[in-house]
Amino acid sequence: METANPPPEFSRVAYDTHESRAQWEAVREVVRRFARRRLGRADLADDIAQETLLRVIDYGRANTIDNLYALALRIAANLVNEHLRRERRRGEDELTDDLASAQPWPDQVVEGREAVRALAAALERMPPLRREIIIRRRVRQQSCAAIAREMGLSPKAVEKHVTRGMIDLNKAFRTRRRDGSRLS
Amino acid sequence: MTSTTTDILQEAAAWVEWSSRVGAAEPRALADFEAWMAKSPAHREAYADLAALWRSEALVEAAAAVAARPRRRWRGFMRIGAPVGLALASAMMAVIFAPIFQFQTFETGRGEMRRLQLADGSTAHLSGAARVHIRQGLLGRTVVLDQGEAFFDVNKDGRPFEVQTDEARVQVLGTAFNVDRLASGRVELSVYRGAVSFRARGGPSEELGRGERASVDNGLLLVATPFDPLDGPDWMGGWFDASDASLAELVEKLDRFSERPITLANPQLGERRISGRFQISEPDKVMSVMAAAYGVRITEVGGRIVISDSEPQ
Repeated sequence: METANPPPEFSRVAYDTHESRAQWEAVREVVRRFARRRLGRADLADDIAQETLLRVIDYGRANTIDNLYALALRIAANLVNEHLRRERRRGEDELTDDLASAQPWPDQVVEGREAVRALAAALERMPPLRREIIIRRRVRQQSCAAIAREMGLSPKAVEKHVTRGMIDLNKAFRTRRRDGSRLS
Repeated sequence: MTSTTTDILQEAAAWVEWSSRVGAAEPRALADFEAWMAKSPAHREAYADLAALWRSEALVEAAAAVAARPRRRWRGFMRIGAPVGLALASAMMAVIFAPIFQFQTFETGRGEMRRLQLADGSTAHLSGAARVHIRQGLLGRTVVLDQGEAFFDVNKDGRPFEVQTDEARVQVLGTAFNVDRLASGRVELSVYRGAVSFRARGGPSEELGRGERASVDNGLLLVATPFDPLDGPDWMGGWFDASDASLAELVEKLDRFSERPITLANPQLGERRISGRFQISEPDKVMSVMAAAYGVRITEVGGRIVISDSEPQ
């Protein structure tokens, strides 16, 4: 059974008009890009995009979908995390069982380490208030409303800081990539 | 109308932030979001990229590592040494027993920044080479700023909170603001949240709100152009934004961040006007820029850095 051919429900629900076909392709493209960014592998990203669309359609049969993109990325993020967990488990096994066969694994670790370092450096460069808000949001999983309350800021100000912080982090991440390719 | 890559990225960040926040989306915003995503592949790509970054484990890991890192204040704490450390330890005990009283002096060394948690829950961030006396009693809370610059985030607790320098007074109830006492005696105030009342010694007071700034110089209070209060003071990020400032002012700010004292060879040199955005947390870098841009000479004499005219004397 190959996933390349969509099952009958898929064609009936999703591919019945020209517009919906275009919209599904847009969602697929967003998911594929999201997964490729997180995993660094195009082939895996294709698989995850395909699996995500199937699950979205499945979900849509029993529920109403209000935010299609948000739902798709939530599902994709779960698939990515599952994959990373599997990968890590396998990596650990290989490292303990046979060091030689684990050759590609340390490379991935180095790549991942580098991203963490670049993001940490960008966080250090941020104004302290913004850094604190990003930490509360991502590490302590606090809601914007709770952060606003505890830090005595308006919710709008917290949202603005998160948005600007994202831009700062993205810039650091991209710079790292350019540097990386120049060095190699 | 076409939007630039930067615009798209900024809008995408706002939408990713929005998606991370709203559970059941408001219908109107949702329609806006879908219309935005339908604009072009570039819009959707920017959204996917930022969503991937925001949800990445690398970001969580980096943020957790940064959160666990000791801030500069602890390093400064060690440098000042045991006597102050002991005094602080006993003060902390005092805080536990009587959380609303506090009588202490804090000082930062050059290049050091420190965040102080005050007894009333307010915070004060000190820039380099600053000294404050904290007095929190039954009737009021006072901070005397002897020298340097500090950012205050004040908790409302019913008692008035006043920042004093020899030249000026700032009185507040619950707000965040920055006070810079320059060596000349000039005091600069910027309000980031709430409102404060500001006056020159013996002068009438002026009510200043969020995004407003003013200075007291030679007994005269001047209200300056408003600023964007979203980011907190520049110095906390290590920057000084100078628009038509004097070289002396820049040197004073650099001096606060420098391990070695920085001085001007003569006062006339300090009157030179400068403009620009300087990364004062990196004094060496700024000085090499200064040498090139303003034609000054940087020399090191007996552990001090001296800035002089480049013409041979």
